[in-house]
Amino acid sequence: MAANLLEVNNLKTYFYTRGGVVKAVDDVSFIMKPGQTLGVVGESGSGKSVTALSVMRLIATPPGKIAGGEILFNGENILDKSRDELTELRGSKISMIFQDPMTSLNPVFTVGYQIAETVKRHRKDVSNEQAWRRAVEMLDLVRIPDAKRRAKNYPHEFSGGMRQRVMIAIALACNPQLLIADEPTTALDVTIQAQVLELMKGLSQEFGTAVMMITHDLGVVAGTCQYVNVMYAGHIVESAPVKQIFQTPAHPYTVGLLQSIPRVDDARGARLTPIAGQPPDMVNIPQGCPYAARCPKVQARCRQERPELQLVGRGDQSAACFYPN
Amino acid sequence: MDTHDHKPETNASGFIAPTSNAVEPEFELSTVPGHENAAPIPEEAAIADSAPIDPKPKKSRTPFQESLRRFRRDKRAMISLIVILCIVVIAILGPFIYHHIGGLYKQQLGTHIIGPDVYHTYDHQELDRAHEMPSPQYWLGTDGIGRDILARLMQGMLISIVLAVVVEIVDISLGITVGVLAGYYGGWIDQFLARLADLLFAFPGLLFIILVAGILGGWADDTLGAVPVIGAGGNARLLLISIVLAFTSWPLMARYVRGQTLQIKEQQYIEAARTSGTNDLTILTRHIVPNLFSIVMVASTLNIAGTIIGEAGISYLGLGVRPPGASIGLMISDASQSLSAYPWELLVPSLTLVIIVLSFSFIGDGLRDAFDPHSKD
Amino acid sequence: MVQQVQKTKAIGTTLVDVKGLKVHFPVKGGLLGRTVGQVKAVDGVDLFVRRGETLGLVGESGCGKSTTGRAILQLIKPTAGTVKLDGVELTTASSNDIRRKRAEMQMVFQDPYSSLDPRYTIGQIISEPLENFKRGNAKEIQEEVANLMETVGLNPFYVNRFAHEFSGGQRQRIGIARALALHPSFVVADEPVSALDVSIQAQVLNLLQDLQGKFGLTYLFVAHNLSVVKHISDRVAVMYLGRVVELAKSESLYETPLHPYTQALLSAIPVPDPEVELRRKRIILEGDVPSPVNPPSGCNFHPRCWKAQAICREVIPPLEEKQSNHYAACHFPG
Repeated sequence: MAANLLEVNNLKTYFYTRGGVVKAVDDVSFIMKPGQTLGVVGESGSGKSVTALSVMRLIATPPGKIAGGEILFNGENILDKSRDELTELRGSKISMIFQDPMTSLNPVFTVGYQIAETVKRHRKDVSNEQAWRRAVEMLDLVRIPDAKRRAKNYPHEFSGGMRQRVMIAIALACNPQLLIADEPTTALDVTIQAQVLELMKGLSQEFGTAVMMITHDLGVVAGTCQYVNVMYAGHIVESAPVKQIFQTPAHPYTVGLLQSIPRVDDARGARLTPIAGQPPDMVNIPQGCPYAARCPKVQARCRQERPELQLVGRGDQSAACFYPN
Repeated sequence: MDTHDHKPETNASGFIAPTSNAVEPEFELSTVPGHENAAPIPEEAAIADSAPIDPKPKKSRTPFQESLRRFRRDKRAMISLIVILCIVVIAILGPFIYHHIGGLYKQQLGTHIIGPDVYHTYDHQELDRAHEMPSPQYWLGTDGIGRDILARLMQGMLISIVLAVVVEIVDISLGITVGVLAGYYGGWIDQFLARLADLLFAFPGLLFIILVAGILGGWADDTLGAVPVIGAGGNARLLLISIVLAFTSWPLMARYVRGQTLQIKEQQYIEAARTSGTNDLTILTRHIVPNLFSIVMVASTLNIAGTIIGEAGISYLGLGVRPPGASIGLMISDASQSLSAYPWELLVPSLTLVIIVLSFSFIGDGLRDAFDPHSKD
Repeated sequence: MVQQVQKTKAIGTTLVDVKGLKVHFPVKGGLLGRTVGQVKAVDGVDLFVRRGETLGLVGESGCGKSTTGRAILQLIKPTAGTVKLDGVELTTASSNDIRRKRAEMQMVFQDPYSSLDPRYTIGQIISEPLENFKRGNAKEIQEEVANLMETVGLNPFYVNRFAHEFSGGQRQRIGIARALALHPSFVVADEPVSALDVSIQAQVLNLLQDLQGKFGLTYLFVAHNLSVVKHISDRVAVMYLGRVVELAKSESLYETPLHPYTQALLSAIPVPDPEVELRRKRIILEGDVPSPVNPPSGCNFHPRCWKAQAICREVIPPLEEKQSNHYAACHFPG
């Protein structure tokens, strides 16, 4: 078995607000192997994006602060790195693509220039010409038609789906080992989403890039990921290979999520089973299991102590629940 | 990003850190790069469906009240507000008190015995007491023709305040009316506003005022001078100036309002109101205008500073308040003639002007920060 | 809440009938701000909604589905075409008549944040339509507001709170209560759950279904999420670039889509099941949706269609009944 590419141990990222401390990520641990595609699923406020930003060390301080834990990338703790080392790391070894491709691209430079800049920033020995050739090559790779000409275009001359492909081109230009994709297709239409997901899947296999796919869409996870972390209120509540998440979900929250989404291949009319209530107030997370207030299987113990993530006896599947399915 | 050693303690130099960042910083979501939506907002302290009923619910606040609360926490703006309030109180009540302070005084040139109600007025000259430094009789000294500087200053502040109020009333009422109509309906009124604003921006405001003052100044002295109190005592032209200042400033206000109206118009609650059968007038008065409040407040506060400077400039040029009336600009103008010998006389009105203008700017900035949705916590 | 007895007209008869609906927005340009083109947001939409049913209207962003919903409600003035609500023509009605008609046609909005005035309390928001239509005195309106809040699953205790104190799902319930206040017969729901979290979506969808049963509502459910539309709709209309390309019963549309665009759309939806995802064949469409300013000639899907022939470039295919109750606008359906 290969060494771990990314190992996150007991990560705690807190935000200090006027209203109190928001424990956006609280004691989260997981590993990623080289080339693996990991899905991180959760609703807004579950801490999935903050986890990703913590790995990138992009948490704005203040109000945010990584309050504890370690993030080992190739065995080195990212939290000990200096600003310069981080800049070196970001974009070359770890890259990230965001939900909104318009705000992530600089409107005053051509897309070719932006890709070439990224290459040059990390590879000092590359000439301008080589960098530009690499940019065109990358655009071609993400299937932008007529890449040579389009490289000279500005971001606003591209459609949403094309812009996201440009972002992927920038992210992969330096052959990173880890690509973090934060809701990469949420802003896109279904048919365009299919194009982009297909592309990401193909490229990550081709380049051997590990992908951390952050999304709220279980359908996207099912189609693209090998392994899934389900997050709720700052904790990983379930972690398992993708098949097991969908076929034998162990945590009641995962079960609830799967039951509450309508499926296009379902017979119509079947009533959805929603999860009752609201996600907890992140400033005032009650003691015990964070899901206790909404859980149909809640017991007295769940309100007293917080369950740790542990194996449920089905291979690699683990859940943070005292009474897993 | 060294986040590991935040300690809310005294720092090395021995000063007590004023609320260290680690204790109670702003929760500013937009600082996460490119990532507004992903921040860990708890479901806004959501009121759970199943929540037990709180017998004494805490008073709920509108976003507006939340903004006011933020404003109240802004120390700089609060101090400025207090300064302005003090100035208003001094300008209005000061003279009445000052008229009773200081005993009888026997004039050296004449033989009259006069009380403070005479020599503490802004236009009384005591020619043999010119250019005096502060004394128990003249708290801030006297100017080149023996007038009490404090009395003149209070009068000048009053002029500035009255002027600001008059200008803002015209500015706000015209600005809101035209801006809202232009933003909501567009069409010719929008075109009219745009062209008028272009015209006024292209035409130097000061030049315009000089022109008007030159052409209509005499007429103002004759007609407006008859208006009691505000027109009397050399203030007739001031009235003219304030009308002109308001006329040059409202298109800018209207543009702000128009922009904001365009934004509010796109909000779905406006469409929802229309779907609910609400008529246009009600939509304008009950949904749009109340939501303009913050931007109008910010814009007018910042505008006041400009207005006061404008009046000072015009009076300095001799086109505004005329002697024997007093205004800050006029005082600066008078004092500047003997600047090298008596810098004190220039310092007093100049400093007052700076304090007033800075205070309004700080209040405006504070309001903007407090009401700007991006700095919400 | 008072049951609406007078609205017991036969279920299944046509309530809303839309023919040839067009909404074109002028594109201003040039020095003098002249109209240099038209955004053909809605370009000839035919559809009808039966009493008591839910018609789903799906399509990708920019296809004109939301504009269609708003044009039906006369929130946007249609450029051409007719819209009949319960037999009454709306496009030629005066603005006063339309305002009176609003009691019968309501809307649930997409954005639970911008659809509620931040300066209003929940009570003021829900009572606004009641006051506009003078439904009772202050006390009666107050009681009705409490009733409505209970109906949509909100505790009337919070009537004096402001919208920002509620979560997205609860705000959407407030919006639904406002839409129901006047007992409308027809409700346009414009992406009512797309801004909500997954676990909250199901709550709101169930609520909409319950209310439909309780009050005999007719929905036009506008959404981009085909899974959601399929779940809630009796019939579904698929829009592409301003036109309805397919209209059929929910089951037959999803089982035997006739229009190539529908086929591609359905195959692109991710299914939350890795086994199914492995087996599925995707039709990946090339390129992007063309601009509605210069839509392609003929069938406007032809540049992306793998079945396109010469005729598709020239002749606009009409929306025809290809199978029983299954309409498609394609020269080569199936």
